Amino acid sequence: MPEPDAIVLVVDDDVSVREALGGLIRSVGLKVETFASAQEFLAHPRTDAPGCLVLDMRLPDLSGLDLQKRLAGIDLDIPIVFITGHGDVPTAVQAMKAGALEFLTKPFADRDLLDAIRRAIKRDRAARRHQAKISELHARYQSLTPREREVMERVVSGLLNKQIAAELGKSVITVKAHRGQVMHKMQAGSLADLVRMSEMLGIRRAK
Amino acid sequence: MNDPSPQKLQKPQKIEPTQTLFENFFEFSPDAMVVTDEDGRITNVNSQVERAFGYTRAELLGLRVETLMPERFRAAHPSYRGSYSAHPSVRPMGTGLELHGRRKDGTEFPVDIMLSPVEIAGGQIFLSVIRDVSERKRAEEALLQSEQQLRMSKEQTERELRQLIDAIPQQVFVFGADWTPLFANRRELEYTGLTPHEAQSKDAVARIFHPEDLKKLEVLRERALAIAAPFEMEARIRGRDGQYRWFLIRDNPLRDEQGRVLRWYGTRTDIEDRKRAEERVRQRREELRQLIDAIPQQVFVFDADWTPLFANQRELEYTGLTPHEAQSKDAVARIFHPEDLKQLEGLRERVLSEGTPFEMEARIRGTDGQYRWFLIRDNPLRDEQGGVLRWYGTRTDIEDRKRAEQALRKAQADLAHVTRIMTMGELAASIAHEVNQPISGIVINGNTCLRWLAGDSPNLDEAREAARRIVRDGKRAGDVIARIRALASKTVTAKGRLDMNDAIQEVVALVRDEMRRSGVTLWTEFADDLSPVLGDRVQLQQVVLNLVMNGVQAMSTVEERPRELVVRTQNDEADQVRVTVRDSGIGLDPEKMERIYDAFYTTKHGGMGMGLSISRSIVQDHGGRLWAAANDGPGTTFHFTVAKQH
Repeated sequence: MPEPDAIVLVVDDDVSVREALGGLIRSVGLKVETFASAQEFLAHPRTDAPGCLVLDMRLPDLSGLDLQKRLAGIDLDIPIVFITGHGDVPTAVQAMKAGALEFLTKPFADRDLLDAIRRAIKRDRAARRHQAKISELHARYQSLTPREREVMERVVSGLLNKQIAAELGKSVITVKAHRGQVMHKMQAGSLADLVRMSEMLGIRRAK
Repeated sequence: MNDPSPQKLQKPQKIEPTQTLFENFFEFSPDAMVVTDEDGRITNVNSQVERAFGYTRAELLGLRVETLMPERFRAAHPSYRGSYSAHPSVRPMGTGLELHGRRKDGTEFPVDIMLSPVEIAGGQIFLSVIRDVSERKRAEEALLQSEQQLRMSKEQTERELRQLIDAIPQQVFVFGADWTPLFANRRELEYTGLTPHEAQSKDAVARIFHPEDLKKLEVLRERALAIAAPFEMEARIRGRDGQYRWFLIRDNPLRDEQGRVLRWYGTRTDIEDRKRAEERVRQRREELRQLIDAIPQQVFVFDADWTPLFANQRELEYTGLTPHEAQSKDAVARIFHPEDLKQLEGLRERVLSEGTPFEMEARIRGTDGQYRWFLIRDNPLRDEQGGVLRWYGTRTDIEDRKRAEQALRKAQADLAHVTRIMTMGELAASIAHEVNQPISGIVINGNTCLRWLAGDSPNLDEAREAARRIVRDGKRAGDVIARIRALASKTVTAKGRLDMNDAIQEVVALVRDEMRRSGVTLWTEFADDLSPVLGDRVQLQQVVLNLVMNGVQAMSTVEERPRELVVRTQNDEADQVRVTVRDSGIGLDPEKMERIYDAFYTTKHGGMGMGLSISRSIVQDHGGRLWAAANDGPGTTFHFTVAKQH
């Protein structure tokens, strides 16, 4: 499945900066959408495409940091490149801690911004791919019966069939059959494969 | 009584002609006639006797003539009759005596009697002609009485006149032609203490006149005598207490038909009190004049048409005009600064018709050729109809005050400049941001433009678009810098037509980043139809900037509600434009409300406390006022007004 084109979202209330950024980003062949305020950005329907957010730190009403928090609150994970007219360290630290990808101080070299944007898009793509994979695994996991999930938990914990059979009060043969189903449904080629999947799914053996 | 009126007379009887004439004469004589014999017996009477004495003829015949006399004379009469008989003659009876008749009823009446002897055969008879003199006697008595009265009244008049002369509050004299005193009233003696003898001596004046005045008196008397004319003088005369008092001397001549002086009638009137009053008035006038000359103003009186009637000494001293020049109507033209002269003439023309006071400031040239500023004030004196009679004017030298004002204005401008710079210092980051934004845009757009131009197939449309943005942003950066330079400049006050909305918008643009940084939302509510004002753009922007920054400061600790700042403009009543700046801050302590305009009073940490003080000065200089009021909700609203431009 081909990935859609990346879209760069720019939020800056200053028309000079906003339009300059738009032009710059467009000049390197990227799609760009600009917004004058955080509210405008939030009100705009989100396109399902990889991308990043170029966000002015100081916005009227809702600041860049506020918007960052707001997006985290609604699980909207998009890489953010902060730009600011005033490079004050505490704000930068706060932004980075909250997961910002880059923090640029105006005036900045256009290359720096473009690099940051490219990195962000790349990361977003990766993240999106990772997210897609997890979704797939999750769907496979959902197809397991409760008994199969019990077996899977114990298999990835390193128990032998005999031990599993004893714990579950089943015969070794039955356990083997379940194990085969798990491997098949999860499309795991090996035990190591299944262990990695269970890690991605965050499956832990219930005590 | 027995009036012998003709109609009462009996009609004449027809008798013999000769006989009749005599008998008629006897009978109808207007006088009573009695005929007696030698023994004094009545032998005949006429009708007048009957009427006068009240007897009938028959009753009297044979009676003695004494019957017709009062009893008191009867006894002596026969002897008189005897002596008359002895030397008969025609004569009046009882010469020098008052004779009286006695009527039958006993009453008496005065009579004159003429006696006349008549020789007849056989002896002598006597004819007495008796005339009733009652009327004449009464007239005589009346005359006598009136004569007496006249005499009495003449005496009284003289006495009264004398008393009057003594009583009148003047000294009264009669002099001979050579001024020898003939008469002086009592008052003269009382005042001078001279004895009547001394007063009547010719050297009396030398004793009592003040030596200086005596000389003058003598000269005047000589001259008056020469031309026989009245004279008048004022002189000091010594009283009995040794003190001189002022008198008005007046002498009038009495002349004969040839015009020669017979007498001098003189009065001396005490005018000491009047003199003193006059002296006091003179002194007061002199003091007033000195005062007017001494007061540190030029003082004038003008005619209704501004012809100078009076100017005090100071005017002459300052302008160097001669009194003659100062009194000429074009005096102002000589000394007023040409620019101010025009204004003065315009003002004078206007107030002349209205008759209202006026006031102006003008430069007047002094003797040194230098102009100094004066405050001119003219007040009209009007008649009952309101017409101007006079103008009273003063000119007060306000050069020093003017200079002080100018110095103060400059100091205020300097201070305003300093505080403006300080405020801009506080805003430095925000201002830098405002410049930085378009510059950032320019740099990015420049790079973008180069990108579009690079390579084998440059995108000219996009490159042009980027270049257009560069131009726009460059202009924007230039505008910001121009505004900053204007605010930072140390320009002298220059008022002009100004749109407050524009001016405020520029300030808002400068503080935009500061608002963001402080988490303040700034709203503007501008009246679309706002009237232009007459003002200094930079100074009024400073006021707005100061109020905005104060509002931001007041909200810096506010966390529980939005930090909102609303700047509003509106047309106010009374030809004013009002600007309000409302914050939602912590509000002002009512106790501090009064002090916030004081210089160096501040509630800010690190503030200088000049902002509101200077803002208020600026606003007042623009014909407006600046005040603060607590909001209904949280925060404070500052208002200021500026006069509209006309």
